[in-house]
Order: sequence, then structure tokens, then C-alpha cells
Amino acid sequence: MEQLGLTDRYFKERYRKFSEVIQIDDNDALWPDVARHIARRNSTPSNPAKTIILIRWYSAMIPRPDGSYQSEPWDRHVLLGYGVRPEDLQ
Amino acid sequence: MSWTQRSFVEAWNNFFFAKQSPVPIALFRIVYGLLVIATLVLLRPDWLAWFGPHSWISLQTMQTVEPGTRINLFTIIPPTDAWVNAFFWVFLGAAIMLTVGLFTRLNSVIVFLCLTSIHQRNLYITHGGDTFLRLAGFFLMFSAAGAALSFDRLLRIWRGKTKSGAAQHAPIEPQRPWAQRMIQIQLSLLYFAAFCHKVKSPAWLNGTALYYVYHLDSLRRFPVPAWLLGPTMLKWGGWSAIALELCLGVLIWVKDLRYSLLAIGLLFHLWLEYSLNIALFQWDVLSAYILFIDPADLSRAWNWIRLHVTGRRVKPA
Repeated sequence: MEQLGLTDRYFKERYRKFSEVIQIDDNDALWPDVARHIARRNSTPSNPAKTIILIRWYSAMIPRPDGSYQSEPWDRHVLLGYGVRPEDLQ
Repeated sequence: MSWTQRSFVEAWNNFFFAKQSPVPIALFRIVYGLLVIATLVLLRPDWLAWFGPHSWISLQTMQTVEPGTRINLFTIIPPTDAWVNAFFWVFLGAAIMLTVGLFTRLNSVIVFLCLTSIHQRNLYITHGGDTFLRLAGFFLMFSAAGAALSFDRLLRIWRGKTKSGAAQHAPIEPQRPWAQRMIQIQLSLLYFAAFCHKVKSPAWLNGTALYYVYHLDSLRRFPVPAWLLGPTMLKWGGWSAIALELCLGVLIWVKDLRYSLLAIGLLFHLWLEYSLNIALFQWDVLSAYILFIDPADLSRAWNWIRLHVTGRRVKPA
């Protein structure tokens, strides 16, 4: 999102909201659908997706007393590994 | 019935049912329609990705994770790209006709059904502004939104159906404002609920909430001066937001304070629109401010605009 221009950011803002929601563990029921959608978007008949891995990348924000801000190093957490079936791509 | 009871009933009836000019609700209808159109335009590039048969979240999953009876037209239309696209165009057409006030009642019903449907089809991309539009849309169906500033009114005049006859400048007939009052109450509740939510949150109470908000790269919009992002300023900003939400939720009903609060609320939302990238949220909320403006003041403002733009003064409605 932060790499988009101002106009695209406004149009794609729903994706920010959506990505916030799907990263929550309580919403794990949504992950297979998301994996299937990514598989469909990234497959061609000659090169179908076989596995989709959803990874949450995160960096802690720690408020400092002087107000300065420096993000913590990035970490990651695997949410889902999904084996794509042929019917998922139809 | 005691005096207190009688005065309460009178005040209640006066508040909800004493006839007044429908211009505020008509103006709200226009802004509301434009906001629905803007919402649709922003959604259009990803319409099928959100609502199509091969969307991010399938209809079946949505019904599993959010069970129960819901208003969702996607459950009755055939699950094909063509039908989902047709849904978009019907929705957009109804929103345009609602905006111009043509067949207002019918189109307000279509817009409400379609808006509710897209929310129920994918609840995970909606924000508070969308919810407010949906709730306001419900009451708009019952309002006299087409009684002024509309093609419906022009049609009635042309057909000679106004009570005052077919005069070219037939006065706008007063209407019962109960539906408008419900939308006003909805706005008041929105602010009060936001206040209640924030006072239960440690991050808002200790003043760090805005620190996180303004350091999220994905939320940033236009540049904010560094001195405004200092911890003291952000703390005061957070506490001021809580206080303002309480005032807008409660004191907006005090006539003498109303315009001052609306002005502060306007500045507050414009600041958020400038600094944070949350599509249309601020405008969705601000749209209902119109309903708090006295019809006589709206009339005066319109006269002033006409006088300065065309040099013509309008007879008061």
C-alpha cells in the first residue's frame, strides 16, 4: 500500500482493511479462500500454482519517551500453507 | 396524564412529527447519493475481486462465518461475472437517480438493498462510514427526501399535483421529519459509541493510540509536520478527539452549541481526511451534518449564494 501513488492508494484502500482483517488468527476460516484467489491470479494453464503460503510480516512499534520512531526488525509468521488442487483454478 | 408527561409527549411529537422544510433531508439525499456513487467508482476496478464468483472470499465462506438471515441479493442472483456486473450497473443507476431525485422512494429502496448486499457479501472491507451510509440509507427510504431539490418535485409541479397548484415557484411543502431525526440520532450515536469504545481502550487513555496510527505507513496520506507527531501533541490530540466525540454525541442536541460543535467537527474530519488514507470515511460522516442545519439558515445561505452568483434573490420557501 505504501508503495502506491496517492490516487491508487485511495482506490485500493479496501485492501489495507482486508489485509488487516485476514492477519487476525480468529479469521483463519478465510485463509483457504484467500489462498485459492491468489493461486487463480498467479496461474497460467502452462504454469499452474501448486502451493500458496500466507505469511504475516510484522514489525513492532515501540513508542519512545522522546517521541522518536524507529521500527523494530521485521519478523514473520506463517499463517497457512495451502496445496492447490486443479479444481481451485477453475 | 401529569404536566411532565404531557410536556414530554408534546416535545416528542414536536421533535419527530412537527412539519418542517424538507430541504435539509433533500440536500442530504444529494450528498448521500454522491457518496454512494463515489463508493461504487472506487470499488469498480476490483468489483469482481470483492463480489464476483471467484472473489477473495466466497459467498459460501461468508455465509459460514457470518450465519443468520441477512439482506444479501448476491444469494439470489446467478453466480456469474455477468450478473455481478449487472448488479453494479443497476446499483449505480439507482444511486444516480436517487441523487437527482428521480423516483426517489423506489431508488432509495434499491440503493439500500444493494448497499446492504455488498456489505453482507464482504464484511471485511467495510469501515464505520460504510455502516453509517447503510443505516442512514434505511431511514432515507422513509423520508421526504424527494420533496425538494428533485426531479420528482419538478414532475409534481408540471403535473399540477402540489397542494399549492402548478405555479412555477410553488413553495416547498413542509414534511414530517421523523426519518431525518433518526439519521441525526444515528450520527449522534456514532460519535457516542466511538467515545465509549475509546475510553475502554488503554492506548487511548494513556495517549499512545495516535502514535501508532500516525506511524503506520499504510495509513499515511499527505505529509504531517514533525512537531505534530511529538508524543505530547499526539497525547493531547488523542484526548481531544475523545472529548470532541463525547461533545458531538451529546451536546450536538443543544441548539446554542450546535454550530460551534459542527464547525469543530468539520475541521476535525478535514484534518483526518488530509492526514489519513481512509477512503470516504470522513465524507460519509460529514454528510449528516447537513441535517443539523436549520432550514431557515440553509435558505439564507442559498439566497446569499444566488445573490452573489446570479445577482438574483429567491423568495423564502
